[in-house]
Amino acid sequence: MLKNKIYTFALALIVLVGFSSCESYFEGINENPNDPTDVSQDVLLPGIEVNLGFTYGGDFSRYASILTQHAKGETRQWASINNYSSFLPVNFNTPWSFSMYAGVLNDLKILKEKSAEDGSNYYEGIASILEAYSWMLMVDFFNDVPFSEAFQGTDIIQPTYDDAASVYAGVSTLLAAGITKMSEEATGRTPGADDLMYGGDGASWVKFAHGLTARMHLHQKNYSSALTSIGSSFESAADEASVQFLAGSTTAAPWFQFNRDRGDIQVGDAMAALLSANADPRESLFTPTFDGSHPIFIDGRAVPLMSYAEAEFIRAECLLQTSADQGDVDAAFASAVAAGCEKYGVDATAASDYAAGLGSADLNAIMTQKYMSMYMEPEAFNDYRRHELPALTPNAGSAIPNRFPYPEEEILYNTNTPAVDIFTDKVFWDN
Amino acid sequence: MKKLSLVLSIILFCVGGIIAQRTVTGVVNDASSSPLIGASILVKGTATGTITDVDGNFSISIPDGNNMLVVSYTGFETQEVDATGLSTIEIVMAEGVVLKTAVVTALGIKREEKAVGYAVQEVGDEAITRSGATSALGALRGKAAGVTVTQSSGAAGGGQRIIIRGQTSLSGNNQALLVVDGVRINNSSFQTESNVAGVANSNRGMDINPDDIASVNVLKGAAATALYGVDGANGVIIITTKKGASGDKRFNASAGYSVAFDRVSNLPQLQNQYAQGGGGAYRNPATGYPLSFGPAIDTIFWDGTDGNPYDKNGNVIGATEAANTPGAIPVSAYDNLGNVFQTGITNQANFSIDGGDEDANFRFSMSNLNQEGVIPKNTYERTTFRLGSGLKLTDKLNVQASASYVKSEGYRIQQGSNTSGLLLGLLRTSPTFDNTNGIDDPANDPASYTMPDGSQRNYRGGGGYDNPFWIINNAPRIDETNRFMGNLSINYALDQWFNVNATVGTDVYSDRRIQNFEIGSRTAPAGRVQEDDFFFRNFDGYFNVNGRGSLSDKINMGYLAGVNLYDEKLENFYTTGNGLAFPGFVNISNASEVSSGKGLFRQRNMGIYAQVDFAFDDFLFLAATARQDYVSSLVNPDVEFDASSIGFIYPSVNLGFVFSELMPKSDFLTFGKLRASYAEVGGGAPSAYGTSTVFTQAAPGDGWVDGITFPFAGTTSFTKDNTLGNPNLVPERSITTEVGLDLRFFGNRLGLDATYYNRKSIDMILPVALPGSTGYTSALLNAGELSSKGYEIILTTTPIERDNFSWDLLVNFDKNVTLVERLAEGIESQYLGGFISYNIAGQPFGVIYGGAYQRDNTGDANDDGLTLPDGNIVINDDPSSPEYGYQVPDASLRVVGNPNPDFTVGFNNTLTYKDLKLSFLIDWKQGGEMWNGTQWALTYFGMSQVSAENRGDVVVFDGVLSDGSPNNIPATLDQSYYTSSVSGFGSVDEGFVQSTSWVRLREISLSYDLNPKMFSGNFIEGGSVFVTGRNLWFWTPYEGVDPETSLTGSSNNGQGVDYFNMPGTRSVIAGVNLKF
Repeated sequence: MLKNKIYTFALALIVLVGFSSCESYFEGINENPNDPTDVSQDVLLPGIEVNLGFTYGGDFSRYASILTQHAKGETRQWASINNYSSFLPVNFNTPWSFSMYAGVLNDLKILKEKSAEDGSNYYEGIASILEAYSWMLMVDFFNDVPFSEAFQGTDIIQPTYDDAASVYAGVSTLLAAGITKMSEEATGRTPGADDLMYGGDGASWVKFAHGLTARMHLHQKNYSSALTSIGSSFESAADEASVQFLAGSTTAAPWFQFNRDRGDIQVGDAMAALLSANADPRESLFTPTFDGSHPIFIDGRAVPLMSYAEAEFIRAECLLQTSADQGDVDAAFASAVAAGCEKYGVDATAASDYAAGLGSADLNAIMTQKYMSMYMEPEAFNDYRRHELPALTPNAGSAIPNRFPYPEEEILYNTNTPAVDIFTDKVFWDN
Repeated sequence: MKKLSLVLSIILFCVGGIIAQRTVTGVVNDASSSPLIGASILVKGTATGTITDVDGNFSISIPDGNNMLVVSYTGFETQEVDATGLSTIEIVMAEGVVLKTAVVTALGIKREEKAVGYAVQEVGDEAITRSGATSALGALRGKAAGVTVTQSSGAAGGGQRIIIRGQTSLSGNNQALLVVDGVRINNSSFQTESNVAGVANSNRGMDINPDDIASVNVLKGAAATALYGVDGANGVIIITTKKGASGDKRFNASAGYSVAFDRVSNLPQLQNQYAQGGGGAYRNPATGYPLSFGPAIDTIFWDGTDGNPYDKNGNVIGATEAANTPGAIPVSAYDNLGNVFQTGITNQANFSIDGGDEDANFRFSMSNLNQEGVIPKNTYERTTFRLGSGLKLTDKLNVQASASYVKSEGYRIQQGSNTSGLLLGLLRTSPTFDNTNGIDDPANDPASYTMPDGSQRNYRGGGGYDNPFWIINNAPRIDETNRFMGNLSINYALDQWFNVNATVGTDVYSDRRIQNFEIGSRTAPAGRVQEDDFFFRNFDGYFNVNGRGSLSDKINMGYLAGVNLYDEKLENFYTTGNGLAFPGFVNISNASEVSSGKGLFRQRNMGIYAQVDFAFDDFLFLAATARQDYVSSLVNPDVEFDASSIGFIYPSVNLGFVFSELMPKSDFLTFGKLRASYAEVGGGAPSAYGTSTVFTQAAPGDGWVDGITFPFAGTTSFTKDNTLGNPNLVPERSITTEVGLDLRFFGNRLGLDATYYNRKSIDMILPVALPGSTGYTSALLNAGELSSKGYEIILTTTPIERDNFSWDLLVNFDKNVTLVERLAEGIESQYLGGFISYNIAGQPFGVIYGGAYQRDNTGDANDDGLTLPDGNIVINDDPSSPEYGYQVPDASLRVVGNPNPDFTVGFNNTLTYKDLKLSFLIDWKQGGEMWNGTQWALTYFGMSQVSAENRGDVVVFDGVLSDGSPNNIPATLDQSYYTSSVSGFGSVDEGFVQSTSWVRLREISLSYDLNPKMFSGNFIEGGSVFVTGRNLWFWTPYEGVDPETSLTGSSNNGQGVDYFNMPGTRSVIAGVNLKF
């Protein structure tokens, strides 16, 4: 019957239309037009540097400064962080994951691989040095961390934790590799303005890498090695490693943004007491309330990843620890104190006068002055843990935490995460 | 599409030979002239028979000398009709039991209610217009079993979330599909700011003019929605609009007007006994001190001096000083809450004109809704125009088309977790600070919220949170949506076996938003303008062939086959300007830093489907469907296209067994049907582009502050996305079985319809949180499993039926349990939204997962680390601890609440006395919890009533000490406790999870039908007047705003969170409808 044929024909056509047009109908529809699937080195690097500066000068600085009592949390969440009761895993998801592992570190891995592939030795060298910096930061605050099995996405969904000492060994290798690369002639793609820290200058990166090597040895009490490395590091404040933030509201430095958007934190009592006790030329700068004139809290601040003053204090401490001539120690100490004052805008004469007035340097004097010079820098917490100088009284209870807790997300999603007690467990070099 | 139109034309032109025979045509109606679909017509003594079509029409060939027709229909008396000498005939069937003659099923196919093997429920137009709801979806609450509608905010223009039978997707959209006149319309609610802050956004379903709706059919289960494939997986709301009527007159017109008065319903309980300050000492606003743990208000005085910009009564002094200060007056608490909220007024007007004859009809309508919220200046306005027409071109060809235009505008107020959120600043304000500054009309006088120097005046000396009146004036979100929706449907009916239909529809809109923050706003102290524009367009096309007829005198059959193409495109352009140069001009051109971006999201689906149904002897009904779906969101763009990798086929089958047909006629059980169905349905990825991993613009930040925006220092930068795409995604699958029983007793006086369903979903696509050490924070995986079980019971009864008086009762009972069976290997939790809403493996959907008290068996062998251990709470017994004597917080997060109700019941009552009708809807929700984050925060601030009623008391908390002995350490309920880690703003949420059970008088409406005789000689033909109350009364143990609220709005799956949410409203509406 004709009608039956028509029905069959129509039904067949429907099915046919469906199948035949499928490919062209779907072609390209699920291609993401909004974001690139690959980017070059010069597009990766600025974000990495700014992110690292923002993280070191932001979350790490805030939590470390509560522990060093550079700062005190007064209200809301920061009141209970101040008394350590909210020093809880849930607060460390962002610095660990968003900022470091899935941020700076994953981008550095991509930068390094990409540069090794196309022979861009400077990008590879920069990536190695910043990786070394980042891993050291992670170990210093979290001890054992995933290192060899990290960054595998869903291939290794629960990376194992590497022994902290072995990560430090990795840091040493990375620094050596970075120094080698940055000492060569630049090949392939070369960094320029996209390197917001050093504008692609190999020599500056080499100095920074030596400074980090010294920091690494210092943590492990290898004072003579540290002294050697520091000799090849920064020669003046112009060499120091920092990330320059800007005056704009969404380009401003992390502490400026925190004071603007949250408040809740004020200058710590221990810091304020030290400043007034020593008639310190920086005292007037460190008003007990945070305002825009405070040198740490301006919007266009250069957040130091490692300062010239720190290098000078490393030199002074290492001279002392290696039983060098006391005159050399004192000279290095005076130079370090002056650098520490100039860092906050104290003029050179006033700074050296103040330094000269401090007299002979012992460990307590060096560490106390370093504590003041490293105001709000996370490295100050490493110094405190090494010597417990200057002496601090816990904000609450009987102990200051020795480390950050592992973040909540790592505990939840990675069963390899060790259980830790932040009051009793220490990082590997803290003994 | 070219190919589609080719098919259409081939069919239209090729169809030729119609077998010419002597036929009788006719129509079968019930007593009220409604057509009966699928009535069986048999030539007596032969096997020749047919059935009526959706309009009740039939056509049958009659052999010579045999003129008796036997007409039968379930529930009606079978009758014999003599057709001798007749070529057309109208048959009226005498009623047995009244069944709804037709229900709308998937793709708009009308079927006899008795034949359907799954649950469908219809809500009529009157129930919608009388509800007083400003949106059609809002009107559905309590009117259909299994349908949950949640109002997200009491603000004017706030959206609703509509869920049918629980959640079906772990991370994608869970809301029902909206289909209007055969084509889908968009019901999105885009976010401009974070899902816990910003404003109450509208959902686009609000654009439907409730007065245009003729009926709403709810397709609940997978068998009912199978023909919609992936898009119908969450249930389907089929809206049929009113059509032009052909009647005695060529034109009819109607007009309606109503006015509603809204007041806020519940507000959080605030303390008014203690002043701003800490440790019992007063701190004035200039100190910026945030808390209200100051002295008791009845112990302090104002000194009566001029010149305090924070208070017109002067400075606060103590009693001793006051004794020596002439003019000192006792301090009394300010009513900051009462000073903000006003009576909102909503005006709604609609007009329609329609008409037609046998060949053509049209209906034109327009409406305007103008809502002024309970917060000053908060407005929402919606204007709609719609033209629908139908044209019968030939006996076989007819065309229907409609076009509508909707414009909506909002002036919205910041809410939620946000330093510019209205309730956040308002509720934290100390009772000793007057946000109005003593001004009568504070919303319109800047002297209430600005200091003499132009900076912001608030209780924290300009810091902290915005003054509510500052927010209202200086931080508004202004938006405008322009929308066009159109559809065209062409139907060619060759004969009952062959009916071709092509339907196309489009939905196009722009949603343009500007969020302003004047300089000095706490969210953006330097000032900010955000322009956020969305452009949406979809195309939905169907081509169907269907038919229906008799295979023999016992067997009727219907079929449908078709193809559906769906194409959607969403563009989003956003520009943010930060750092305004000068105040008073909040405009992008005044910004010192401007950044902008664009997003484009495309999706295309294709479905090929077929359905066949059989009716055996009018008591057994069997239908089966199959649909093959192709979904673009599963395409991996990096490999060669392979249709089989994204295509998937799903079957369904359903059975209706009218067992009462096999039983002797009974006055007791007049109708009984058993139904059963099985359906599989698939699903695509939650959104486009999930199959690849990209680099995103670098945006360093830490969650505490705004963070860094690139371009930075003249360079741009990209970072590897934290979400790892998955090129190997496969479709989600869910399998649903459903059984139901439909019983009618005593004629039609009592009806009971019960349904049980069981749905299991596997391969659910979800973003799985990864430990950051993998280099990513989440990945899309095909890993989740959900199960859903539920009952629905619908009771319809007419307890009283007299000549002048009747009482009709409809009860909808609904119980659903949706469990997250599995997330992914090694993954126990998935964050949904609102700080604290998570999916946890083995737990109900979207549980409240937060901080808990440590128990004495926390961490033992039986502790799974997720659920709350059942032991005694551990008390801190370290005397050196500042929290000595308090509870100890658990280091792990725990499941501390379940927002899903145990069951809900809606009692719809209609009492009719002559022309007077009283209807009321009682809505009972049992169970379900919410995290009262408002109280949690306000306790820290010393502003919640709970932080004041026992302030200063010494208690011994229930619990045990570290040695296991009962706690005996006294603790004082003071600032130290209320701001500790186990109280407000601390890490323990457990104490702030509260039941949201409620019983509410959702609607009560009194209406009077205007008798046409009243207007004799006039052109008014009738109408009605009504007064409706919405939410006039409710009971709930929840200690806050109306618990029908959602911080995250209508589109987020994270529900059960209250953090300074806008309060809900209660309303009285009066209106009149007239027909001309």
